[in-house]
Amino acid sequence: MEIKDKLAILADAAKYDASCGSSGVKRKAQAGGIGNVQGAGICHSYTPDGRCVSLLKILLTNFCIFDCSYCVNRVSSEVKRAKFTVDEVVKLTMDFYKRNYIEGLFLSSGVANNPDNTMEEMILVAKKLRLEEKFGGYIHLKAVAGCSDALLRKAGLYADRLSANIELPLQKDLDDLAPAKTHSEIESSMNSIRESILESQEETAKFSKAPVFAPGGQSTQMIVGATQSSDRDIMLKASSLYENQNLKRVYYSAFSPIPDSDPNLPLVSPPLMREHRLYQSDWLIRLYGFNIQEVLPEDHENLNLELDPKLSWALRNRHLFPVDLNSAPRETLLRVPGLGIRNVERIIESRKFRKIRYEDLVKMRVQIQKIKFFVSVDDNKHDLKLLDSPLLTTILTEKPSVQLDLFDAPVSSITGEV
Amino acid sequence: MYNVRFAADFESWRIKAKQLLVSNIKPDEINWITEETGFHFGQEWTDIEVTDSPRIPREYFEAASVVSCFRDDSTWTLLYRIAWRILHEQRELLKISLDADVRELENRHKSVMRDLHKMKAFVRFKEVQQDGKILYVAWHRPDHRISRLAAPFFKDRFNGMNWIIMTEDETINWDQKSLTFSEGVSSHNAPSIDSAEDLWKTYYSSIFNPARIKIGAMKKEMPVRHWKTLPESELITSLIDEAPERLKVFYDSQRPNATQEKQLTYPEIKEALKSCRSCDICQKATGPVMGEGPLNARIMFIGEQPGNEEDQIGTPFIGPAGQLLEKALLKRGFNRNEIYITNAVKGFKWIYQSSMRLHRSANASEISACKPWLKQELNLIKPQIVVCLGRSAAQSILGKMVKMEEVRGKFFSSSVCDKTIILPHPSSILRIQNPNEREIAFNRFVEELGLIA
Repeated sequence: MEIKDKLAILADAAKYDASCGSSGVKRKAQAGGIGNVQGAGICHSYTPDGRCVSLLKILLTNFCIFDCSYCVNRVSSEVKRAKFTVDEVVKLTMDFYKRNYIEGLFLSSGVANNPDNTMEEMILVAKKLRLEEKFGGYIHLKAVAGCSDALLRKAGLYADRLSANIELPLQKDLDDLAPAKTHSEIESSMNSIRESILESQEETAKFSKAPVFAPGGQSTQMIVGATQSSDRDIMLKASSLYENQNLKRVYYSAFSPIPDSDPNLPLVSPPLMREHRLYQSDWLIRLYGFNIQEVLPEDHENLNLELDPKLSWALRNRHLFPVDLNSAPRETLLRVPGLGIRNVERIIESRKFRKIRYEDLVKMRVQIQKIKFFVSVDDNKHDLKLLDSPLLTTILTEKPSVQLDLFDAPVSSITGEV
Repeated sequence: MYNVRFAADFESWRIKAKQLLVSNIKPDEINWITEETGFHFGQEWTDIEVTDSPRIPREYFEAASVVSCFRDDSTWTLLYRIAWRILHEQRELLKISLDADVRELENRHKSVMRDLHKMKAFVRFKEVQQDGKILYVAWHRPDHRISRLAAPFFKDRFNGMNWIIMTEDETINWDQKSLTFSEGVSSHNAPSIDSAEDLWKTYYSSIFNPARIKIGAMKKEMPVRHWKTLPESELITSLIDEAPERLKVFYDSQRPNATQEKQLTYPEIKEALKSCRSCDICQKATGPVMGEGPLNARIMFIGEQPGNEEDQIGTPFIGPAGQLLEKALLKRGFNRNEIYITNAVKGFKWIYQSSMRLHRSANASEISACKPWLKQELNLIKPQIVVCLGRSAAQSILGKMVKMEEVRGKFFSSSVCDKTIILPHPSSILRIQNPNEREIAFNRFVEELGLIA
């Protein structure tokens, strides 16, 4: 099979993985080497579906002995199969990188005959890139489900990021759709990656020359809407992973129909808005100081699709408003609907020198239609009257027609600002 | 009014601005002139010696050096006015992002940084041979005068290559030793072909999802003015045009879902099974063959699929393999009537050969298509022991391919039952040609059946 045909098959097969970024790592190129990693990744191109192309995202092979219903490469799928050799992936990566097409490589794989063999080949790709090609660009390796800890420890020496996919929020979901996988096995892989990262951080603190292990940390992906599990199940799993496994990111991927899809899957994909709301909640929990009980109280199984999670929280906690923009502390400002992190910083800096006025909010391009009901500045007395009115929820409910256009799932995984 | 003439770069501007600030010249008293000739009202500024510099915060210089690349001459006036205001009005001016001048500075800063970012993203090198060496050449048109700002990035990233980036303003050269700048050139000086572009285009079209067309979002991030130098942009029109056809192929590949929303009773499953179209097997077979046995059975056997006889009569495991199973069960003191017996795939898959209907193994997608029916049976019977006979049944339950010799004959907990065991399919014993070996295989099977007693 020609390399071109393999690429078509193995790129197509990899496009269902959500994470695409290369941010969070910095590495200068070695003298005479090729490639570096800047803090924020670069999108080198965009496809007509509006998504960015940053990494060469491919599978080593899409042959797989596993039969996970949600996966296009499951053994029971009738897709065309192909397998790259190690050298083919190395050459492809270098050829693309040298032309400035990509930031690096995101290599995943089906389980060709057993997890360890497949993982070993993936590691070999990364090793050759680093040692033989002096490649300093970004490398993300997917931990093959069920591969040994020893291999994971090796992988992290060459990869910037490792990820083991948790796949579905509950063990019961895995039992239904991916009976060969268990949360305990996946989390034990995560554990082993986490421990290696920790060890390496301790080592490098002592000896600057100590080998660095997966400096970009680890992430995971959860598929949303393939089973009946609720947003609460999903967010509980996500926050427990953030807490216990020290993950950099959890990616939420709305289950989408795949070619020749498994009859065990639901026929419709969940609204993209659900994925977007999950990303928003994720950001609230990671960066805005919220906890899961606030975002999804006991009696809320699912996030409100029509109101963003911060707005929903504010409407449930109206007694905490209005907030005075000229005096409220940072953590209170972060909880104001319509105020993102950057604007909170702007307000804090600017108000040292002069009072914030209503017109300033317009200039900052905050979401006036949300914020005006929740903050007191000089002249919005009229809007504040609505704070106690049941009408407010209706006013703030988003028009469904705007939703899909405005909010694009991959975009929200990057910005997530609320 | 003073006419201040300088080359349109930050360093030359800075030297003049310093003199003017020290001389207390107000912002609106200056004409900043970057072109060489041209008549302007006012008095020509003559250079003066400056000994001590005005005290301006470092942040200002950081921002100004970037904003000076903004391709609009009003920038010089803006930069001077802000410097003036920092000295005479408010030292912390830059922190007041709500101030109109500061906002304009920030906007222009953002615009230059965005252009810089796009240059890092959209420069496309082409590999050429020159004097026996490999050289990477790119032509790019930035919005602003950012070649000097961008050069260090490319030097660091493509350190081990010889490369040239041409722009209309300036050409950047890197020979793995030093970074040099030469005159700008127009786009037809760029090489036109490259050996990797074909693969890159293959990649680009393979990752495109035809179900979502968002041309606006694409153009916003990848402005059309840059398309000329992006090889992949040639594909955009055809990708969009072909999307409906690709989608049709995609949707045609979708199979109807056999999953039932609620738990059905035995007769309901049997009835519903008749109209299943999750795969094509049952259309060609006489009909689906549902599992049989007591609904309160303690043990459930799962085989592969009905054979020729089973298909005609409509009962599982009554052909040669079924008889062998029955014989083995009897040896262990089981009566088949106390066991619920079914198959992973409910229909008989066959080909016509030598005037016979010959059994064909169900493939993985057919096994998976039939799984919802098996799940209905499992949930209905709730067996305490599940016995998978053969690889197909094991694959259906485990969700992965297995090797029989590695997995057979030991109990484990699966997602459907705490006590699950895999044994070879009786028909695999029947297929053994040598009578002695067949005898051994049968005895081993009987022995393993003893585990479930």
